[in-house]
Amino acid sequence: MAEIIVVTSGKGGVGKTTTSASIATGLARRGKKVAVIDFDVGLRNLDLIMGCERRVVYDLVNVIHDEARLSQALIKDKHSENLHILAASQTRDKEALTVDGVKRVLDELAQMGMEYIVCDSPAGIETGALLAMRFADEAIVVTNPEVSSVRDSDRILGMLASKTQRAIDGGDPVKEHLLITRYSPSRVAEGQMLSVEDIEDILRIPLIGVVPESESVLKASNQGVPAIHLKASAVSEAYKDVVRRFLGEGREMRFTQPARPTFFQRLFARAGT
Amino acid sequence: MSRRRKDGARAAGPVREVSVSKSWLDHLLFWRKKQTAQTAKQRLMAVLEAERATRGGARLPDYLPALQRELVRVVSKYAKVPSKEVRVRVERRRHGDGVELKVEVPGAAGA
Repeated sequence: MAEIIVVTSGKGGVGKTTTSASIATGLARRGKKVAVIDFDVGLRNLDLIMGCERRVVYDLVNVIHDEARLSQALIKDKHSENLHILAASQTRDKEALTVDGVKRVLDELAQMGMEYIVCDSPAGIETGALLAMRFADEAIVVTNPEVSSVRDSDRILGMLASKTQRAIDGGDPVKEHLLITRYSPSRVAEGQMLSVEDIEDILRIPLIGVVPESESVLKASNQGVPAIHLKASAVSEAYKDVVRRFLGEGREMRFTQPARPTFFQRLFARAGT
Repeated sequence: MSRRRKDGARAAGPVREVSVSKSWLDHLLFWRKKQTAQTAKQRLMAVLEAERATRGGARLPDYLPALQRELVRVVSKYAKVPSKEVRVRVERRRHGDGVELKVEVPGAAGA
């Protein structure tokens, strides 16, 4: 049985594709057979983040419309042979996706022996986002410590609880995980950024990880290498932790405290709260 | 507007952006900086409470409107209460949800 994971957020630019690429890669590096699907029809980008943009021949929409077989459209990742990428169409519009078509692709991926299928959701609450979450077993809700992102995440949680197949069938709900990205512990310490605890209080779903704000994410996307591959970077370590927690291995939260609090920061930490 | 006053009090003194980048002065004036994260949290809590209440999504149990009507009926059997004064809301906590019923009875003290 394949486990279907949707990476979603509502808001754009919070790190869904970065997260999808890193989690899919991380699971594959742990020996799991993984497929990662870009649901952002018309605004394909997962291929660039995974560094396989020049190898896209067929895409998700081609498979749904029987213009190509799934095996033709799946791209083997250059780093891990357990990992397969299914690109979104760049030319078609988002109406090209159908519930039945998506179901068929997911079923076929499961028959191919995929253990995890990661669905990279587009931003917004339209067809593409709804179809990305429709058949999910688990959801990773990517949230930035910022008011508009938290509000949109809350909206998405409402949809996970009402618009997914699990909600429609009335079975076990989709298992929700909160992933906070672009976190800056020093700004939190200064009282200028929502803290992990603040966001947990507001959204009330279990935390799976905190990815610190870092320049290395841009470095990774520039090169088409998933951030989890970066050497000696807090971001890659944070994503490796997320994968470990996802696989049920307990792991203490890291990167939630300022790196080196100065004497004055420590002195005035009290006055700040 | 009471919330705004509280934030103002928290800021302790005139609110002024200190744009000197990480100097000793910055740290020295640190306590004078407005703690905007708390404002963000309060604003989010307020707006999300309203949005969750109006949203039909499954974050709210679907029996809620019916429960509300029923409660209004029961309450109005004993007290003259306009239906908008009966408020039912669901609060999500980390360990399960709670349903809170709030009824404002006008002039109840004299009744």
